This record gives sequence, C-alpha cells and structure tokens, in this order.
Amino acid sequence: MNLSRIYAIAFGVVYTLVGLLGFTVSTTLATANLIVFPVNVLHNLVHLLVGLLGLGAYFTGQTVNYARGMAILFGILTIAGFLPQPLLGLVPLGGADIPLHAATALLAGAAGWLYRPAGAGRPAAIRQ
Amino acid sequence: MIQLNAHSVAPVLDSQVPGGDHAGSIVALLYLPIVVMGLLLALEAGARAGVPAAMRLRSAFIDSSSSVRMAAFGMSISATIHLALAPSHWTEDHVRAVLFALDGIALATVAISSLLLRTSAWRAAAVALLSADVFAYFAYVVAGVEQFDTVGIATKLVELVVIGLVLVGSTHHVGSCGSWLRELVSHKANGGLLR
Repeated sequence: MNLSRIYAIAFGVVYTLVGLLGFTVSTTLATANLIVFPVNVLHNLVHLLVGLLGLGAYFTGQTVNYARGMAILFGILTIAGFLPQPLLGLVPLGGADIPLHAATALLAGAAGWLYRPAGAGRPAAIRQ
Repeated sequence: MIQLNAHSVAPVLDSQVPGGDHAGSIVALLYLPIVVMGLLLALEAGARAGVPAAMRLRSAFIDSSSSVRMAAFGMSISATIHLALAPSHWTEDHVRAVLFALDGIALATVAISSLLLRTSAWRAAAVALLSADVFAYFAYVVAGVEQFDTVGIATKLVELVVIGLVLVGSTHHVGSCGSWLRELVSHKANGGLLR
C-alpha cells in the first residue's frame, strides 16, 4: 500500500480547498476565522501552495519527497504555533491550527519515512 | 467580574463562524483525511507486524477498485457530516439527533464494508441508505422542519454521486447499462476512441 501517494492526493485536495476557502474570509494580513481556524492572506497562500504541491507530487510520482517535506514544514509550524501570535506579526498559527498542523506533520512523517512503498529509493534497475 | 450570557454570546459567535450550526460538521470534515490516513497507517503497521486480520483487510483494500474507493470516501464524507450534526441538533430535537447519529454510524459501516468485504452485498445497503437520506432531507424541507442550506445541498449532491458510482459499479458486473462505458474503455486500451 503506497501511503505517501494516498497522503499526497488526500492532503493535496484538502489543503487546496482550504486555501481557496480561506480567501473568502481574509485577503489581507488581518487575522480572520475560517470556521475555527485563524487565517490571513499569507496563511491561505501557504495552504494553497502545499495543496497544489501535493496534487503535483501525486501526478509526478514525487509523493515520498512531498510527505517528508510536509512532515518537516508542518512540524516547524506546529512548534511555531506555541509562540506569541500572530507569528512575527505576520502569520496566525495558534489555536485550532496547532492540532491540525501536528496531525498533518505526524501522518506525513509516517507516510514519508515509516511506510515507504517497496522499492522506493532503490535504483530502477534493481527494482525490476 | 464579567459574566457571559449564553443568549448574548451565541449570535456573536454565529456571525463570526461561517457555517453557523454546521461549523462543527465542516471542522470534522477537515479532520476526515487525517482519520482515514491514521486508519490506513494502523492497517499497514498491523499487516507488516504479521497480524492475520490486518493482512487480510490490507489485501482486500488493495484489491478494491477506484470507483469503490471513491464511493467509500463519499460515504465517509456523508457519515462525518451526519455524525457531527447529531450533537448540535440534540438540544432542539432529540429524535433527529439520534437519527443523524444512527445514519452516520450506518454509513461509516457500509463505507468500511465496501472496501474490506469481497462480496457486493454492501451495494444494496449503500443505495438504500443514501436514497433514504436524500428522500428524508427533501421530505424534511417540504415539511418545513429543515431549510435548504449549503452544507445540506452539498451533502445530498455527494450522496447522489455515490449512488451513481455504486450503481455503475454493480452494472459493471451484471453487464447492462455500464456496457457503453466498458466499450469506451476497451477502445482506449486498444488505442481507439479515446486516444
């Protein structure tokens, strides 16, 4: 079971949608609530970017790299959520964002490192 | 000391939270991929650890077709929304809240069964359940108990799409209405029509 592939398409779709929906509540640096999640324009752009990267990774076969990148990025964002908000006066990362970012990072790490598809990372000639 | 009055706070919260009383269902929906990924990771871990049940379920999942997986995901969306609606409806209508909860559990059960069982018995249950959902929603709207809203309409659209997927999948086995689709696909495989 290629979990990194499932991860890339599932989170690619969700974060793309969340990024687009975010623009309906905030198009400036001012913090607004997307349901219960604090967002602003920068936050929405990051959501949109990681979502589109997920879709791109799914179609180009770079899902393991995508999952690993997401694990690192969202791990950092989770820790940053505990700092004074909005972070550096720019991006809101606290509140309800913290558990969502943490779960995203944990699952990305598992999909990227723990359960790679058989043959991933080996030369094509050996893979048969 | 500041005392919060529930009646004065609620309208403010409603105005700040897009989706109103459906906000909970939208938040739950955001967590659905996380729950699904968590379940798949647990299944993979169990299979790699040599747990027989996990190995059997894992191979059944891998053998499932794309249309079945999409139908299962659609049913999961509907189940999540119904389960999340149950608590918010409890205060105004106990019966409807219980129905939401039961419906959500039934849909989740059928969604999991569709992926893991090798029989097609789940298809009849899925069509019956989803048709009842769509019919009940419109009956409640006509009766004035519910109003049309974005979450409700979107959920019913997802359910209608899932009904279509389930029916197309079943005709694939029987070989009637789905035959034109198979023609198209076989042409593609031979480098024909869709090339």
